[in-house]
Amino acid sequence: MGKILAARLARLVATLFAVSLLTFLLVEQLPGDPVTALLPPEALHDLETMERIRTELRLDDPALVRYGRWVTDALQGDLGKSYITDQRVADAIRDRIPVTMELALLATVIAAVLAIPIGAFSAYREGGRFDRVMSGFTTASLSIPAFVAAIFFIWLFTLKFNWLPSTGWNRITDKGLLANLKTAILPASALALAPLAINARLIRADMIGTLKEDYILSARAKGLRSRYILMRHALRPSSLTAITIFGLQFGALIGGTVVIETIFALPGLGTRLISGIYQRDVTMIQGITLFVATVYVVVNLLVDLLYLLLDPRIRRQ
Amino acid sequence: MNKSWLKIIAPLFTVALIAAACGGSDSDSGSSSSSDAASSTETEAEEETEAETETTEKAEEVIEAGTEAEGDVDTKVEAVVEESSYGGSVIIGLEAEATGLRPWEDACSSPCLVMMKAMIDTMVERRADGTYGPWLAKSWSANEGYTEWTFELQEGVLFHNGYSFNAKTLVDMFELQKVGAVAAGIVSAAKVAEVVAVDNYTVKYVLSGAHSAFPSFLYGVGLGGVFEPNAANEDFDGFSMNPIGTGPFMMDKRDLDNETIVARNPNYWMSDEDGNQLPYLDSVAFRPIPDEGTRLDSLLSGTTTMMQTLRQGTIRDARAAKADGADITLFEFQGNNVGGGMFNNSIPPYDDVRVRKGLTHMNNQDAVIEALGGTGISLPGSQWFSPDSPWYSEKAAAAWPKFDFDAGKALLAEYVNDPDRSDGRAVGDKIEVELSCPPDPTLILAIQVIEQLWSASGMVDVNLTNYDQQTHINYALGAPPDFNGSHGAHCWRWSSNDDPSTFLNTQFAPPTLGIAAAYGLDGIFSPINFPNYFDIEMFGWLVGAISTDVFEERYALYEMVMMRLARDVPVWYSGHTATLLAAETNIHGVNGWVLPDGSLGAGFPAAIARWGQVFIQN
Repeated sequence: MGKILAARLARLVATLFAVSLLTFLLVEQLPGDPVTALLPPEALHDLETMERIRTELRLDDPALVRYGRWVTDALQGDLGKSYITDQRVADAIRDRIPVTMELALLATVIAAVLAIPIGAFSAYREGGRFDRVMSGFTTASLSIPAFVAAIFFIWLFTLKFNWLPSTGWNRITDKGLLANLKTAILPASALALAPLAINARLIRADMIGTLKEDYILSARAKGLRSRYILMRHALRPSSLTAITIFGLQFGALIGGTVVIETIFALPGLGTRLISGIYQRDVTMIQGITLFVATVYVVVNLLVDLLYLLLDPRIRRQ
Repeated sequence: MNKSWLKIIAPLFTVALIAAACGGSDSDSGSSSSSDAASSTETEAEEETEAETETTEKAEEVIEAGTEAEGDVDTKVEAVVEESSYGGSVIIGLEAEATGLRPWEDACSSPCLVMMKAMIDTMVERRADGTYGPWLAKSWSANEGYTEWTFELQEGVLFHNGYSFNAKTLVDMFELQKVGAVAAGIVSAAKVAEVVAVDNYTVKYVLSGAHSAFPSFLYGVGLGGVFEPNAANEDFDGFSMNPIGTGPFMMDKRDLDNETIVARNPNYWMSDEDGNQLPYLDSVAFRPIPDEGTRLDSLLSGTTTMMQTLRQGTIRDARAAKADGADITLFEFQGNNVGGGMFNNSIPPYDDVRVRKGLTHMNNQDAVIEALGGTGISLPGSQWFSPDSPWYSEKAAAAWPKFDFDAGKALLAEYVNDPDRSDGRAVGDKIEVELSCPPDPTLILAIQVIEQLWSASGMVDVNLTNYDQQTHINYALGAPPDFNGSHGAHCWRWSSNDDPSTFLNTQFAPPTLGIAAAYGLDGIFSPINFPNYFDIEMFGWLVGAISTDVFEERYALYEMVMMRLARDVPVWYSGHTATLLAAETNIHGVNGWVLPDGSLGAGFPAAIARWGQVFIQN
């Protein structure tokens, strides 16, 4: 167990290093200049100021020197300051991560809460009317991009029914949980559609196999109730796939909320990353990318560890 | 069992949505928060001064901002005729977040200015007729050579932190401005060498060269935005989040990319013409909503009570929503800002006027405006000034090479068949044009229209490219020492509602040091002469226009400049950029605010509201 953990941690560090280097090199290749992004076009005639800013931001140093300096600072917990807003990158992440995390978490919960019963019951009634309807639903959910679903939700729940606000974010700390959910539920639902469909299909496929196992037949022969068989005997062994997928999806959602955050005007990491890219805000892009990558690999590590805990066969291997 | 499962699954999603919808206080609802705030402020106002009345009548005066534009465009700036009242809040959806609110340091475009103007007053303001009038500066005068400008300042003005505004404030501000990322460039363009406090409420700006339109620089927030220098020096970075000015509102809460709320400044120095202290509103909330459709939906659903847009397509949609019965007022403004593009005049084939003029003749402005969603909204451009502008020239409009496909083809044919053609190609070979725009969907549609027209001549190979905004700018800017850029035919926007000198003098100065030296203008060059076009005679007119303050003389010089641009066609135009502020119908005072001298203000150019005189009608 210790060896496995050490190997996974070493892989995590290597992944994060590769991500940070790759991000730096990619941003470096962009033709824009942070100094020109910092100034309005009419101020670009002032070469003296442009040079001064370049020097202040230490953009004159060779790329590798700048990367080395950034890595050294990052290892000490300092992700630097935004070129454009002067805000500390760590502060920007701290302010925004609750929004993105909540969205991802809520989307994962919505996907899980709906996918498990849909998948399980579709498997139980394989080929039946419910299965066919749900098959159509999951196909449609997979075909519809999240941003289209978002626009539809805004039209339906905001313009038609006027139940929920179309934009903005109520922070739990400011306005309480229910007010917060009012602003979170639409974007999270739009975000949850695709994972919901994938999970429902995976659980269904997994459970169809499980329900054909001898021990399920034996349970039925004993006269156990169908709900009990499904929940206790069939769902549990099929949960490994679900846990893996939920974990991976949560990690992906952290980095995948960009479009949804933009449409619903939410102050999350995605919005900041996008503006960072447009503004050539190198430190902000690197900081957020590294953070998202860290969350992704840590979640994966936790999923791997959970696997080890849940399945003794994997531990023995 | 079947039924029980269905019972669980089917309502889950709906229940979650309904629970969220029904629960909690409706703090996002514009109407409820407005009315709550309205009652509280009415009480406050009564307590503050008994002499104040809650309502006041405004003169039923209507003044038009220049000549009415053609087409279905409302450009009227008119005095407020409704009864104004205290209290209430406005929630406005903006097209972007402000990256920072330090006037001297942070680049600030329209959405940022909507915020900044609530907190930061400027030295002067613009009137509806295009002239500049008093704001924090009561009056001003210049010496004979326009190199020294003396301003008398308003007295009794307090900053949000309680400090007094006086001449020393401006002197201390200048120390930050002359090295500020944004202000330093403006200081150099305005030729400000020194700021001197003559007495407590008199300040002198000493220029290194003549500038007869210098007060126009004090209209912009970069140089004219008055901030509290002590606070700026104490917390340089923090000032970006919490600016201290003398404006009608003070920062209350700044939640980046979510909501910025400014609250009424109880010590604001301005009163309305009946002596009621301004501002009327309790607060203004600014919400960046980048998606155009969602921003309009937010207004229509009541999530916000106001919105801004600079996109013709959104103006079209807002007009349609209003026609369908939406309870909103549309404040449209047809500004000088004109879309179009430029040719890189320093490289072939664009270095030949026949190519530039030929391509421009083949540009169907109406079709391009239609692709941009601006039919009936955006007026075709023929110069840097819209028909509303006092600087607009009928003569230049007539001289501009309008859509005439055959005339354009003939000019191109002349170039293509010229054995000495500048691109060095063989006679009869097609010319190659790189046409580039940022990857905005409507801009792409627009350049596709142009590409089809140019290609239809059979003499042009068009290569379309799209780069993001920053890359697009950098390609046009180029690198030192020449800053020639690597662009060909490049989408661009021209002009603004500021004094023409503020943009024309830098944009048509010598584009390289070599050209400057060749004309004996050593050291005078401008990397932002993006088209790399220089005409010594035209440059002389531009310099002449800042050496006199007689409007007729200046008008004549700028007309000559526009005529020269129509002759040489270094740039082309599509349409003027109409902008829009849309608001719930009970929001007033956006249109019709006045300066301290009672003259009518410029309204809402570039969708930038002045919040001091906005009110919600009870």
